[in-house]
Amino acid sequence: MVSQAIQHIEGLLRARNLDGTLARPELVPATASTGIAALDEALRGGWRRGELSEITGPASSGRTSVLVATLAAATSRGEVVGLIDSIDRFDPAMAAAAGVDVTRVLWVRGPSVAMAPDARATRASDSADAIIRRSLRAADLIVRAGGFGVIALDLADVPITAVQRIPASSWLRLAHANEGRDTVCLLMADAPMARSPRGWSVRLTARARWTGDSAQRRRFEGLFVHASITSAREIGHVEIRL
Amino acid sequence: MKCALVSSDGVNGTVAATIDALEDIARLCSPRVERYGDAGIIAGGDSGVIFDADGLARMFGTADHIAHEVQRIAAERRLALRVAVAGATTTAWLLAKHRLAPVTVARPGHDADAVADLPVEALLTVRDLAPMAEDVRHQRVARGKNFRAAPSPLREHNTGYTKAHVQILTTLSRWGIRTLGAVAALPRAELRARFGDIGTRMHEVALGQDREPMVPGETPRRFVERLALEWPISGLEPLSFVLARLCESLSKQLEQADRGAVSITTRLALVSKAGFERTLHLPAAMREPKVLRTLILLDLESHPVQSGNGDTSIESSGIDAVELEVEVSPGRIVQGALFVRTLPTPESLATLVARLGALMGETKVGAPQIKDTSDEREIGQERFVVREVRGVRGGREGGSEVPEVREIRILRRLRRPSAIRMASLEIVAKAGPWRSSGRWWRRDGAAWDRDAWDLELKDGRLIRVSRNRLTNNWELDGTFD
Repeated sequence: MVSQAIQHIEGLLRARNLDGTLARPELVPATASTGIAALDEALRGGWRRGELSEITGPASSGRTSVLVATLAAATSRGEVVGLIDSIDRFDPAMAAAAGVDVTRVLWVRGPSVAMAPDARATRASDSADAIIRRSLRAADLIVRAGGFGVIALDLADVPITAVQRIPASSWLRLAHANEGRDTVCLLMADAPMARSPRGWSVRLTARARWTGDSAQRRRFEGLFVHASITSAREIGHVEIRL
Repeated sequence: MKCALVSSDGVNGTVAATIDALEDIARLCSPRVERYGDAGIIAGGDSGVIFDADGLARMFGTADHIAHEVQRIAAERRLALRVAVAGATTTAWLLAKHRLAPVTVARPGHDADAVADLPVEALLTVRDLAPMAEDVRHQRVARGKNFRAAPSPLREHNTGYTKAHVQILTTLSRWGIRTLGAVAALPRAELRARFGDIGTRMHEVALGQDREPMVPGETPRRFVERLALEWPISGLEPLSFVLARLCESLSKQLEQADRGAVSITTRLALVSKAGFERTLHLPAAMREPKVLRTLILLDLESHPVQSGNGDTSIESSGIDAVELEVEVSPGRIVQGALFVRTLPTPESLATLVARLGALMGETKVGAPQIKDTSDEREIGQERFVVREVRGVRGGREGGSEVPEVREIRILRRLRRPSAIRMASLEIVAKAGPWRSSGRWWRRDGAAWDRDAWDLELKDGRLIRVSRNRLTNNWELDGTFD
């Protein structure tokens, strides 16, 4: 990440047409670690900065775990991160246990929508639209403020039909706002929505890891996650143990 | 020429003046005002105010006239004080402090004569002598085997003097020195040989000489901008133009004074004769006019303007006058560094949080707070403040330099757990129960007692459910993801 002072100096040099002395832009794009070594390797260093990437998958596929790992890695580097929690599902205690420095997280919470496992189809789509619109606006504001390492828009568990009703121009607008910045913009939802041309789409599926050989000793330990990675030029797969 | 003001006991309906009141009176006479002394430093004394009276002769006349003018102002305010005018700051202070007359004036060039009959104890009320006297304790004097110190009369009374003060006064007493005039008559070199630097200073004070020049204090300054409108305006949009003008002017004043605003009070006078006031506390000292205007507008937007009786708003009743007042602190010094990460500036962060608060609700924006409780459902949120992290450098991004996150299980927690019918779930695997309980002593519904289970369902979802042992109902806590 380029410091504010360097950006300022480069700006002054460009204003006086003295930018010939500046180093050429890096050919390798700047990346931010996901906090998971196997995924970093598959993504060639991590999430690309200045791009819009997405994490998708059904419930219990490890989407939130990957997102939390990314936030933990970013906060451990001293960055501040923004999390737009559309329907208020973030658990700070578990995130802190996973290594996130919660004091460096700007947490923007949406309404707390109560939902039973079988209530997914019964939610009013108009309120979902309003929630998504507000969340998108919040993400746009944070991106434009600048200075954040990672900005995550959590739309998981929001009906995908409502998410897909968002016009493509809205995602384009968000991607354009983030262009050229040192910020990783992450979207998280049940199904693919949008990504910028150089961003990554990571689709996850998972199965549970249980330990213990008896009912009394059994314990849910984590997930075996399979990640399908897609970008404009490549497709890959990786197995992750969370 | 210096004029000293010291508070005295109230008589004839007057009350003792406070230090702030003394300063107010002094500032009416002269811009060069200094607070003299501190009750914590000066033995047995309170503090006073000294002002520079040079040049006041053309306004008030002689030194005597100046002193009486000060007394007249104090009488108007029903305050009791003593005034002394002398050539030196120290002399003026000693006269005001130790003479009981309301007005004392030393003849020009005769400061030493004016204080000659004051007792030597008065020396210890001089600002720079009191702390110097403390150092005497460190000056060990070799004494004979059979030396016995003479008993000091000061030890018998609760005078407020420290041990070091008593030591000085006892020595002077043994020499037969009772007054400042007697101190002035001693040879300075001999005094220095016996007391060190404090001896020199005592001699200077007795002769009415200052060692340090007067250091005037800063004038307390209010930063207020007010605009009375020719035609009333209504609504936030026209108000934003007025605020922009006021903020520009305030910003210039703050820049000149090297100050930043830490809180802004907005006062609106409505056509209905009602008033509205709102104070906005800023996260850091700032003075950018655009940022200040935006923050005020966002604050007014998220807190709709209502007058005192709650029946008038600026939409229905126009605004007649707008006033902004800021509380200030010294300006922030920002030094950019080449190897420090780009973080949001306090200004941009304040604006961002205000915008997000207006969009999502003020209580919905902040940093997560980990509560000190065993109740996993309890969460907190606090104000988001960016702190610099020392020792974190840029380094290579991504890759193996970032420590890998430990194994994690993340629950997407329902903030309001919903009731669930266990018979409808197709459970593949389960683990539990994990019992937790707390606040059993409370009767307001805050108590909890539940058994939690982790379940894997046939459709692949992993959920956590709890059985509320108080109601015997099952609740869905959230989904592992």
